[in-house]
Amino acid sequence: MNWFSAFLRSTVGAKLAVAVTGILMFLFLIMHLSGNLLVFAGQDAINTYSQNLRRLGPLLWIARVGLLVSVIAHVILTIRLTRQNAAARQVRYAIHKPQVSSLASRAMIVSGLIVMVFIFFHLAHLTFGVVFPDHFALRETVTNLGQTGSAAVADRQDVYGMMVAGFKNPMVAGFYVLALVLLGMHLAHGISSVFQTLGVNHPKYNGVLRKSGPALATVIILGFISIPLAILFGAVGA
Amino acid sequence: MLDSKVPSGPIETKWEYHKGHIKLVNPANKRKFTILVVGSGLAGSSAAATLAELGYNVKCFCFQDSPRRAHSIAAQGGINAAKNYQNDGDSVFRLFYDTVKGGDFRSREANVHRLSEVSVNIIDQCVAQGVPFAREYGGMLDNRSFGGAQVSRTFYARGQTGQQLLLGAYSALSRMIGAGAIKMFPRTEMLDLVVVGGKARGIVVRDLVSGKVESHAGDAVLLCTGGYGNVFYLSTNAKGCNVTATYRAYKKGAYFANPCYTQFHPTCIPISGDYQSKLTLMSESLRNDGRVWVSKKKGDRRLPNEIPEEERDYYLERKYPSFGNLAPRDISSRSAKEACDDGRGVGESGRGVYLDFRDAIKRLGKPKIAEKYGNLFHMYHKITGEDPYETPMRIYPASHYTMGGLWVDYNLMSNLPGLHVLGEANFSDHGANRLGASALMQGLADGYFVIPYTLGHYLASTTLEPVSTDHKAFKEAEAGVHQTVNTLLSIGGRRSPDSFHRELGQIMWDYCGLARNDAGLRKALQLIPKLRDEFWQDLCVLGERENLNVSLEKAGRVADFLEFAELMCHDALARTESCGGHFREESQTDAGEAQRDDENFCHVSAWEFRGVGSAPTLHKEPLVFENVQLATRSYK
Amino acid sequence: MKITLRVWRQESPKDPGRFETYESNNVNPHMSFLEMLDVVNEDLIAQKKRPISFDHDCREGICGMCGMVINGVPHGPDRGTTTCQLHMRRFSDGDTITIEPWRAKAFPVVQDLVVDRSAFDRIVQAGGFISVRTGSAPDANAIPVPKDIADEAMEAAECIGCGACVAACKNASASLFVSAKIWHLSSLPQGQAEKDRRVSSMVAQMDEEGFGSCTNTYECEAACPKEISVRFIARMNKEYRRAKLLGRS
Repeated sequence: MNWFSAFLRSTVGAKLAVAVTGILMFLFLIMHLSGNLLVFAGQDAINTYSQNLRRLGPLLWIARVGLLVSVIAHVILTIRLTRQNAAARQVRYAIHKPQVSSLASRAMIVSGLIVMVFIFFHLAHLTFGVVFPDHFALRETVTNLGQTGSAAVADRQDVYGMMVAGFKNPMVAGFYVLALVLLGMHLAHGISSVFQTLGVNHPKYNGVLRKSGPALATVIILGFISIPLAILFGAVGA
Repeated sequence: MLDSKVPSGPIETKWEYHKGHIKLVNPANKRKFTILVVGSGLAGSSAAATLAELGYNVKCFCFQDSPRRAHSIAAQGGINAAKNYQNDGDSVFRLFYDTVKGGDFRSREANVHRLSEVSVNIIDQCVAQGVPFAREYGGMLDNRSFGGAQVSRTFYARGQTGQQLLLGAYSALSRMIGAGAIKMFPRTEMLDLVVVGGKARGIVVRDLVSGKVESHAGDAVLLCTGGYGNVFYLSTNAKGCNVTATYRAYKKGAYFANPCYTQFHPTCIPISGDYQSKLTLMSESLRNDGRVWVSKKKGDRRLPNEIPEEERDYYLERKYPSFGNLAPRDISSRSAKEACDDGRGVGESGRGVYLDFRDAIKRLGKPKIAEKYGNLFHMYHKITGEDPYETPMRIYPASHYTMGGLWVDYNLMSNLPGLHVLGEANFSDHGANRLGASALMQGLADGYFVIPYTLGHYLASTTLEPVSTDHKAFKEAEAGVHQTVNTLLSIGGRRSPDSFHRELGQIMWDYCGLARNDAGLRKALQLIPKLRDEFWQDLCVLGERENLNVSLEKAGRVADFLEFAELMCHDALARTESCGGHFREESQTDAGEAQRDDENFCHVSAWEFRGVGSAPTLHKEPLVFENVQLATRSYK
Repeated sequence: MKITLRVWRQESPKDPGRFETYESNNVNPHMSFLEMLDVVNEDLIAQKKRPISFDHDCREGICGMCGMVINGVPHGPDRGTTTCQLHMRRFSDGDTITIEPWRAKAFPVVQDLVVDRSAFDRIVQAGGFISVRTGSAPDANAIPVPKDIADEAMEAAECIGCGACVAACKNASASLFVSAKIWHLSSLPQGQAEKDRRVSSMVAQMDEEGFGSCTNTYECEAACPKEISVRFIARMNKEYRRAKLLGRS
């Protein structure tokens, strides 16, 4: 694997790996969003979804490990590249006027790092239940009608209740919204950028490709943001 | 009498015969020879790369920060080659004939024929290197036609042919640098030639960044340092172009040939003020559709569009009805000067003529004109702030190319054994006037296909004692360079190097420019030494010796121009005929056309240095025309 | 016109450098930017001050020697223009103009506005060529090159090596320069034989020289006086991926 580590050590190779891991995380985000939006379908829908996810067992773990590796690689490589980039210009300009680049494209490391902090909080909040242990401990009682007509009573984690309880808190909802906006910025540049890094650049399609980032990012982030806002303002879980 | 060493036999076989009979250097011995190549333009890069490929140990020097920046890069139009891909009747002989005729019968036949022969190999070589020449839809190479020819033989890469050819040669050079076969010395200026035992054995250079003066010893020296067009201060040359390398070789005994042959390009943007630092060339192709005119009235200050048709003098169409606006460079340039001397010049300075596209726009429509010349119109607009679609362009001739240079024999070696001179720096191929698209051809022919053979012959047929830079001759040359540098820095006067250069340029432009006469040249020969004295008394060079010092570099170059200008005037004074770019007012026909004097001047004038301020000694190489009949050029 | 200049002055690579302010009252709007500096330099010489050093040569936008950051933009405010092609009519009477050298670790300052761009030469030496010995070429028309391929190669080959792409990039990345050279050669039939080796060694040398990485902000394309397209960077990424992951280099 000597050749592969050499590949990753080069700036072009590293960027490629950043793009590929970015794509994996992006795919995860889309699945995550489609699951989360079930909150609008009610308590049962999202709780069932969550329960089914856990039932995937080893598959879930493969996905989790894949995601974790992607995140770690993405973060390590971008931090390394950023340090190299900073070293490539040690004396700054007194005046430097960007001509065409977006703020999002110039602030990738900032938006990225804040989003990373947010992910830690988000995991602690909703995956490990460290932030609000009482929310995490909420259970939902479910009555399953068996084939024989007999009812089995069980309970499961109340993801719905946990979300509602959390986002009722304006501080929490506010932090989520802020972090999601930054994630949106990150995606706006990142998505379009992926094409260029993977070598997809054609005058016939560049218009679409360059707009795809901001457009997709907006849709995804509006989707995510709608959840805390809907809960905060009582449209869900009132 | 100078021996040109032209091989015997019919002209078509001279080069083949010569190649087959000259001596070779054993492959294993090549690396024992060190070749010093000065300059990295088309000639220098191609020579250095090719010699390194052959196995020689090569050192290459350029004053720019990278070899890729040599001024060959600025050539726009194209490169000629007798490929006959157009099937329009071109041949090696026709290219040879056009070049000899275009040079007003003042070049050496055998050299020009060889140039035409190898022209075809140049295109092959460049294409293989990846030079993106223009193509037709079928994937074959495209050609355009150029002045002085009735066939389409010019290969081009948009308006940047020189750039693409130079980048090709630079890539070959870079490959050999990367392979360790060439040691490259950028930002290094040659300041003297070292002659040991009558042979050129080394050079003294100054590292322009550290200021250190160093010597390099070798078995042969190749000067590929371009022309001296900047003697006029304002020219189409790059600011750094200078005569120093060839002039210092001249001071060490190399003969300087035909220095009065200078070419003025007729379509340049005129001078707009005394701050002007260079003149920008507008491609000659504009004259295909533009009409050149001035007002019939003297001192007419009206705007061009206010001057009615009947009050305009389309003087080229009037004087040369068959060629009209496409008259050759020397003739167009001189006619513009005549109109301005007559008080009918245009623009604030009165030194300019109109190049008008009004009729072409009317005939073809603006989009068609934009398609053909859009980038040139844009460039003109950017520089002058005037829109050539609305108002005529103003143009005026500018110093562009110098046909003269160090004298070389058929093997491109000067009279100093070991000193070889390539490209614009030598005098050999263009006679008294160069045709468009031939400069690139000559630079690459010399570097890729001539010197690799002839240099081997020299090395194999001469005995070269080992020489190190500790030799007395090197120490003396270094001491001389140190002394010049110290003097320049210590004069402590008031005037900048540029101010002297500008003044010298004005003298040369006035008295040794587009037209020359006895009285004017004699006056220049009085003014130049005076200016030179003032230079050595009132020059101001600030900054340090052992650091980057731009003023010091300029001062050294101006000092050489101040001596060289005198040589140029001596040559112009001695040649009382008019030929090509050299127009003596005393020698013209009744109609005011240039008149050659084949009886007295069918020779190369090679000058030998006799001391600063002393008249140089003339050596003649008679020119013999066996394959082309001497005739008067007529474009009426 | 009256112009105030804030110019970076630095004696040598070791000197930390500083800005100095000069005023000039005799600036003509028709002057080029470099001619304006010539005039300022003549004034400095008259005051016995060392003139401002800056690289320049052809003064017609092709040699690639000139280049300075003018009011925060490499080669100044006009698109597709080198510093020598910029004219003072672009500025207004009374303007203050800040002039800085290219800033990149790989382009160390030599003096004032002069930087050392030999890193570019070393990248080309690493692989920016087609290996063809003089004399070994087949007839020029033996290999047809479709016009659109030749045209695209020409677009890439137009690069003048000025370094504005590096100067404009927030990461001081040389990707535009390197990719243009790679694509110029690797898109042509003549350049196929060495294409894996070329991209591999040129990228390695680019990294070795200490340039940053490309983060697709496209400032390079905007600053390029020849308006070379970032499309070539995408091509380079693809070439590199193919060469490194699937090829032998």
